[in-house]
Parts: sequence; C-alpha cells; structure tokens
Amino acid sequence: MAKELSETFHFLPSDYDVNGIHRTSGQTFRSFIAKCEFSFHEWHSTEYAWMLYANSRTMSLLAKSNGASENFIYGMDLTKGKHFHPVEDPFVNGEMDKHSKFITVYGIDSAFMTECDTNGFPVIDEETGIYPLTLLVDNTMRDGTVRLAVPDDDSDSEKVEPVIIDVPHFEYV
Amino acid sequence: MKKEETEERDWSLVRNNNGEWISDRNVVFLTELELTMEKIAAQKCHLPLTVNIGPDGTKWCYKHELDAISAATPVVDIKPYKLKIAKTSPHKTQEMIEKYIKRFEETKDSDTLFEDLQSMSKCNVRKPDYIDFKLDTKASTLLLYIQQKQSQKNRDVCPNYTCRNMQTDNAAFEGWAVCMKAWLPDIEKVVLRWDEPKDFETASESIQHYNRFLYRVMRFSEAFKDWFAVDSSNQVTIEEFSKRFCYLQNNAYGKAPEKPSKEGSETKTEYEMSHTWADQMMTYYNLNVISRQLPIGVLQQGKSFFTGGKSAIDLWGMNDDTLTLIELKYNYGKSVNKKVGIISELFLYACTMRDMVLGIIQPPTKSPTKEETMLYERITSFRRVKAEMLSNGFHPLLDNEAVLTILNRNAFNENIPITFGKTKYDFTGNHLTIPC
Repeated sequence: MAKELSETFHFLPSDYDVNGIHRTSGQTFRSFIAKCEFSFHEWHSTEYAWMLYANSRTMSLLAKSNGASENFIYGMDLTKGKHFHPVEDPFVNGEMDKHSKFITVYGIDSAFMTECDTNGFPVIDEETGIYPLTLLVDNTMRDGTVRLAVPDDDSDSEKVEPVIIDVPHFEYV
Repeated sequence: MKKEETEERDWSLVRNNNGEWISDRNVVFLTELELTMEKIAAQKCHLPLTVNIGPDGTKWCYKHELDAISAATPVVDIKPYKLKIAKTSPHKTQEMIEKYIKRFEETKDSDTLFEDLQSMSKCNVRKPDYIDFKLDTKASTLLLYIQQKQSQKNRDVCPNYTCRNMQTDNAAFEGWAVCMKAWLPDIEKVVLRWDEPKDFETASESIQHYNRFLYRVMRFSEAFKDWFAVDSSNQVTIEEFSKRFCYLQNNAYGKAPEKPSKEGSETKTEYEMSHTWADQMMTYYNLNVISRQLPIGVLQQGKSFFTGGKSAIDLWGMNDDTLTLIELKYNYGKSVNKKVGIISELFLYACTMRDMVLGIIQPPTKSPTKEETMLYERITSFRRVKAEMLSNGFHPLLDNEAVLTILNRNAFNENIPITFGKTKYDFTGNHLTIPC
C-alpha cells in the first residue's frame, strides 16, 4: 500500500446544525474543510491534499453544507483497509453506484481550484498538483474527525506499485 | 496493480456545476438541439432539468432527470418529425432539418409558433390574419401585435380589429394570450401591441368597440400583471383611457327579452336553459335566480361608451353572495361557434359586472325585469363573480386544464375575485345533459 502524508483535523459536530452551518459563525462545514486544506498546504508547502477521509456522518454533514442533491451520497467506501486503493476502490464503488438509486460523489473541487477557463470550469493545475479532493468513507474514524492526505511520492512503495498514484490524476483530468 | 484491472473500469468522472465529481454513467451529454428539445419536454411535464457545463463548454444533464422526462413525455410528440425526415428525399430532408433548426432560433415567428401549437394540441389551429405573433425565446416573451393592414381579399379595405367584434379571432387577444401560454411552455410573458386606429371605419360604433378594447386591455393588464403587459408604444393610450374611464353607467333594455321563435338556435337554447331547464341549471351552478340577456352597453354621461344594441350576457344568475355569468355557445349542424374569443367575451362581462359590484360603473336607473331589478338592488353586496363558459363544443385550444388554471390565477382574488369555469353540455333531442 502507498504511503500517505496525512493530517487529522478535529471539530465539534454539535457546533453544526443539520444543514452543516456553524451555529455561531454561520460558516459552512465546507468552509471548515477548506480551512483544513489551506492548513495542510501551509504545513507541507509543496503538497496539496488530494484525499479526505471521514466517517459517513461527517460526509453527510459535508454534503448538506455543500448543498448537495438529496440523491447524492458523498464518498467512496474503502475496500482495502484504511487507505485509498486507487484502482480497487473506484472499481468496487463504481459497481455499487451502478446499481444504487443514489449517485456517488467521488470528489469535490479543491479549495485551491480557483482559476476558471472561459466556460467557467475550474482549471486542474497538474503542474502544481492541485486536484479535486477525493472523498473516502472510513467508518472506523470518530465523529468530529477528518483526515486530509496526499500520496507520499518520497516513499519507496513507488517501486512496488507504480500505478497507484497515477490513477487519481487520470480520473480527474 | 495489474494492468487488466485498470482497464475494467469503463467510466470516468465528470464535474457538475456544484463542484461535485460523479461517474459519467449518471449523465448524458447533449447537443444544443437535443438540450433545447429536452428543456421544452421538461417544461411541458413540469419536471426539473439541471444543465451542467463541461470543461470544453459541452453540456450534460443527469440521466435520472432525462429518464423521468422521457417517461412523462408521450412518444407521439416527436414521432412526426422523425417519420417525415426518414421518408422524404435528401433535398426535402435538408429543408426539413433547416425548418426544424429554425424552431430553436432566438425568435419564433407566427408560422413556427402555430406549427408548435398544432403539434402540441394535435389540431389544425388557424392563425388569425391580422395578429402577428413573435416569440423572443431568450426572454420567453411573446409579442402579440394586432395590425391594421390591407385586407388580402379586398385591397381597398384596411381593417383594424381593435374596433371590431371581440369574438373574432383577429380581435380576441385575451383568448390567444391565455391559450398560447397554456400550450407553449416556452412562453412566460406576453406583450400586447396594436396599431392605433387611423380613421374609424363607421364612426361611433367603431369608437365604442375601441373603448371596449381599451377597457379589456386595461383590466387584463391588471388581472395578469405578472405575465401580461402593454407594449411601450401603446402605454400612453391606456393611461389616457384610464383617466377618461369615469361617469359610467350600465344600460338596460326598454323591455324584457322576447321568447325566441327559431328552433335550433343559440337564443332558443339560451331561453330553454333559463326556463325549461332552469332547475337543472340552478342546481348545477348553485343559483337562487337564473335569467338571460343582461345588457352590457356601458354609457358615459348618457351616451354610448361601449357598444350597446345586442351586447348582453347570455345567461346569468345569483345566490346570496355570488354573481354568476354564463357565456353560452351552441353548435348545431353548419352553425359552429368554437372560438378562443369566448375567453375575451367572458372576461369583458366579468370585469364590467365586477366594476358594478365595486361601484366603478353605476347600475341602470330602471330595469325591465324583476330579476334585473333584484340584481341591481343587491349589486354591491356580491362577494365574488363567477364567469362560466358553457358550450356543446369548444375550440380545441381550450381543451387544456392550464387554460383555466391561468385564468384563475388572476390578481382580482384579493378584492371581489373572478373565477372562471368551463362546462360542456350535451343536447340530444329534448334532453339537456350537463355533468353532475
């Protein structure tokens, strides 16, 4: 399995209402995730978070705060332990998605995707490594916790499984 | 990871307008033409259709939304075009494709709109000669323009239908506005424009028709202000008319209407309904009193302001708080009277009577029948006006529930509401059948 560079962030679920709005600041839970993304980049200056791990309740809060349609479900289920498997997970979740009455949301725009093309479509910056945030459901995680991660290019796992980090790039581009 | 495994995944991700990335199995990419067709179908079925834009400007919609629209759309709607294209020559096919594409251009002319109407209503609706229809598809606004122009049949004549009988297809703007809005989902707003009469054809009667036309326009703009408006070129005329709309009184006949002698006529049917079948009619319309021929010849300071003469409400009745006006149409043999103008007539009658209830138009000083006397004695105590269409056959464009829905969403509801209804009767032998 590929190594990941990750950071865990904490929040109080009771601070948010059912629509994912912070009860005192009025900010959305999505804004909180954006702040986590900025912090992640700040702490690992050359890296941008590619993956967001959270349990299904937190994913639901994110969906609500992002104004998702009622028939959308945020995040892929992990099928190979606690880390994203870039081939198996999309394949298995894709099969489930095919037969589900809900539509799986595999990712959301990164908070860094601010530049748009002439059609108003956000630009994916491959050079700097800004990609959409892949949503991953890990129900072993506690409420009030999210984990942002990026595949660790410096790890020696590249020699074993070179495809792993390539697949997410391909999918979003 | 094995290479074969990566190849098994036959889908990729697409981004929606909300920044969410989903599988392309859930979406359908559409051309502009396909998208326009789907939008029309969605509007027709009142179903949502979310249009998302891809990185290269391509447009796509959710598959589940398109499936729902497809399930709710009758197949016959698109069948004629497909069949025609398949069976005609290449030259003809090109012509048809061009014609088809024209349907989705920024403006639609009268011919295209009436083709759409015919396609939607499945009937051969004839376009009036003196009203020009133009739809601005971007603004979803229909311009309805009553033109004074040279007659095709007699080039010496240049009729202006704003000074003619409101029942005729060329004058019944209310009927066309409501019916076209009901049938064509891409119409949201209607703007009326007309050529001001240059020279009144037969002086006084034309002026009275024109006054009545301006009154209809004034009240229709008030009743449907959220979707109907007068073109800027005619606004001053309406403002001036509203200022001179005062000192008005309804007229009355000198004597009670006589019993008609001609069998099989509308007047005879009207008589029978108010006499022979009065009980049945009163039960159906919830009336205490029923009568016929209530004049609507409004006077201004004793002089005719609206056309007088035969202008009268066919059947009318009342109960404690409701005044009911019935516009009767009778179709028998060659005598066919199925026009969208029934809406225009009924709208005028309902507004005139409502203005009497509100005290804007005064009742006549004396009346020839006890029913009319009773009506005018109680005129200001009515709380609502019911306007009913009653016919043994309607214009096919009226065969759409949306027509009544539109009419009943009028702005009069806050104060003396006017409600519209439609009933089809059957008249076989000597027996009248109206639905229970």
